[in-house]
Amino acid sequence: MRELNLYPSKRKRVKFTTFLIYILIMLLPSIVAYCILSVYWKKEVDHYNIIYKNTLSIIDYRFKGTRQDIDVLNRASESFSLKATVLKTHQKETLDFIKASYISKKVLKEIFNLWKTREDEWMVLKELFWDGKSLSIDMYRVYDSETAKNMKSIESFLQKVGRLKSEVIFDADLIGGVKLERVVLRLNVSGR
Amino acid sequence: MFQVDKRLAIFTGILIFILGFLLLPLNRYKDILFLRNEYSVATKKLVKSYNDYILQRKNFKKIQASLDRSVDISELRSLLPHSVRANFDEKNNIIHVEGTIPPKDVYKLLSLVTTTSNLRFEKLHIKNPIAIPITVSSSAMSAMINVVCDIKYLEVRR
Repeated sequence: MRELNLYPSKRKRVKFTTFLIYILIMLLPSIVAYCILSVYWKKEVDHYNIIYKNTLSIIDYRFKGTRQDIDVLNRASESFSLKATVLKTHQKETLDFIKASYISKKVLKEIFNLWKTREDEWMVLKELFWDGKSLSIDMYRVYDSETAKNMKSIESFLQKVGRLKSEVIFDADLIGGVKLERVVLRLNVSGR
Repeated sequence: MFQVDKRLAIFTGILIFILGFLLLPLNRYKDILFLRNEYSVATKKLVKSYNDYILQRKNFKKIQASLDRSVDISELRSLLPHSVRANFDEKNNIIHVEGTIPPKDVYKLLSLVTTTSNLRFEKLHIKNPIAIPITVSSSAMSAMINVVCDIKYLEVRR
């Protein structure tokens, strides 16, 4: 018996349900691969939570495996950087203050200490001006000219601190070898 | 019943196979790569900034420790001699002090500023009009001394 093709131009067709099953079968490998990789991904996230446990404890956070994790970490880093910058500014401010007050305190403390403690050199302040960089003292001094080598304690101290200019306005010999002088001292700390 | 052309069905199947791989597993694979690359970078950055912060905090505490004899602004108000007028410029942390005061108060003011860590004289002008000796104990009202000064105040952050 001879086989006859009565519909040579007929296109082959499949039923719609067959087509759907066919599509599902084609999707199956991708879904399986996705599931396997998801399990692996989950394990990786847990692994990173363990290895970065100490780091994450700083901000009390756990990785979720999303891009949000990176945002959280970046925000925390920026916050710490900002805090560090603020601290650096405060440090600089404090150091500048300490540096500036060092000379001021050293000079003024010592001068008033000398005034308080020196009994052989009687100093009377007429005027004092200090602006942080220069000091000007106008004072009277009464001392025994015989022991003069121990005198001028303020000058000898100020010479160590900065550039000192001393000007004697007047001097007079009083009775019993006592000497009186008016002296103006100008100290420049910044010029040293 | 609805039917689909066999060749179209094959083409659609292959297309879905390729798209399925591109969208599902590849996406997940990208997530894994993302974890590997980005996590270490972000954690390194966090550790670096945290360590820097800790270091700065430590340094700052050390510097602050050197300001051991410091007073706060309210304490300072009570420590200043009562005979002086003091204006607090809290914006610039400057205390403008002026007054015609007895010698013992001059000493009190000077010793307060020179022995307190967070105070310093920005400007100081002492004028002793009749050149009387300034002594620690002298409180003679006749021997008044003019004092004008700007005291710089450093706020100590605990």
